[in-house]
Amino acid sequence: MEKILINIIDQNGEKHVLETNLDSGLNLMEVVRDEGFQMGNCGGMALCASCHCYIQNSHDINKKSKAEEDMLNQLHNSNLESRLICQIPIKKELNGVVLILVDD
Amino acid sequence: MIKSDIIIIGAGPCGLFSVFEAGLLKMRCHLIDSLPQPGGQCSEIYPKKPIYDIPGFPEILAGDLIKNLMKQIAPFNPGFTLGERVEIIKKQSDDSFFVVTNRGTEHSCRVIVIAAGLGCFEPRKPMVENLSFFEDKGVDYIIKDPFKFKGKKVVVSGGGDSALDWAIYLADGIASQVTLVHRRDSFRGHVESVEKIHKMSNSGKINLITNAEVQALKGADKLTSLTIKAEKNNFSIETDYWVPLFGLTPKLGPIANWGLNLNKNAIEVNTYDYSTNIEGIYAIGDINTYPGKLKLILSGFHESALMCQSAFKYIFPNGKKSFKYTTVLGGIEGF
Ligand SMILES: Cc1cc2nc3c(=O)[nH]c(=O)nc-3n(C[C@H](O)[C@H](O)[C@H](O)COP(=O)(O)OP(=O)(O)OC[C@H]3O[C@@H](n4cnc5c(N)ncnc54)[C@H](O)[C@@H]3O)c2cc1C
Ligand code: FES
Repeated sequence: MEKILINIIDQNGEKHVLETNLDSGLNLMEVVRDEGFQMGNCGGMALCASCHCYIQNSHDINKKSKAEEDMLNQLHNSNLESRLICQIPIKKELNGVVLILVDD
Repeated sequence: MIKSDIIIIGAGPCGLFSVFEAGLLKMRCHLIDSLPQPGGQCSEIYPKKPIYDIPGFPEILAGDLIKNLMKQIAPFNPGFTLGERVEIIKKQSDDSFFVVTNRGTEHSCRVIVIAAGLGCFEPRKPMVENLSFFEDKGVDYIIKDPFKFKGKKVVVSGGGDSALDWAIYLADGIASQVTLVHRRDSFRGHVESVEKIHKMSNSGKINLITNAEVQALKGADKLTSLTIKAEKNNFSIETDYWVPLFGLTPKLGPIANWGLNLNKNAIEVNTYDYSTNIEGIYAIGDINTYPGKLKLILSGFHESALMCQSAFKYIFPNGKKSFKYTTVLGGIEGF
């Protein structure tokens, strides 16, 4: 089964590496939440911003929807690297992505 | 001092339904919530989204579910303390509880039900220097009483529904001057609200500043002006109030200090009656955890029914109550 690696830098600056199956049908938020990180309050509907992360390295990921863009614009700490990771489905191109979890 | 049989911390769907179950057993409830309105996540995060797994309702908007619950519990006359966070819980020598909120409101009760969901909804605070100094001295994160802004100059920040709705409401004859500041030029709110904001801006009723942020707060002992950082220049604006509305996010908050057994930010309970490790304190809904827990509204409703039976026995050890269907006595008046 094909796997990819996901790097996480948590709110305390600690690094974690997760491995996940490519065919899980999950999104990034679900994978990160299943590892015990607190996020996903709205179940992945771009409604709560609990999964707000900064993604620094330019990965080939899907574009933001209007709903995601609008939610991010509402936050005071969002910037050009901001994503709601519940809006990013797991795919091969994400291998090695670095997610910086944002403190609310 | 407000006295009740049961204090329910959290007025989300599970807290609200507990009033009904307790009411059938003639126990009087008082609800406390940090939000200015009842409904918890249903009102704060997704009032306009349909829910499909409430038994008996093939589809119901989260906001309508809360309206229905409020109607269902109205005959039991619950008390409400809204816009206040429960800070302190103390067991007294007579086994009653003394409860104090962040605003100093004091309550006493026999049983506490924690229906605190994902935690206390707290405002997302912008990163601006001296912000905490100006809290309650011109900076407000939630609007409890809009008439406090009567005849005042108010700056609202944010691009979501609550920022738009409050800016429109306050500009309609309440505040003397309303300015809406948003980081972008597109808004997240409903189309009608966005259209209204633009209309009010064109007619001069609202001072709309987009692609801008509040950068600094000024004032000796209370807020008197703000510095706004805009695309081209920075400028200052005189104001009595700044209301940053960047949404609310749940935080476990004071619950962590009450001596309860916690597991990953949730309260461990006994599934026999959803009691916690402290006698007289129960936890239901999203805030509790046990093997097999599902964070669903219907699970919280079930927990609430069992919890109330146990709370009744705890409050009235000699009281007799035989179990009855609501249909048997022709509605809740019979109870
Ligand atoms: C987008 C979304 C979609 C969902 N869809 C469904 C669905 O389809 N079906 C379903 O069953 N469930 C769904 N849920 C989950 C459901 O909303 C929750 O299970 C439910 O709201 C839990 O209710 P509750 O009463 O336990 O807590 P909440 O609704 O979270 O309410 C808890 C309240 O307690 C208050 N509080 C906490 N601590 C304190 C304190 N110290 N002092 C004062 N107040 C305090 C909080 O401010 C909050 O208002 C959804 C949730 C979201 C966000
Ligand atoms: S989980 Fe709510 S926005 Fe992503």
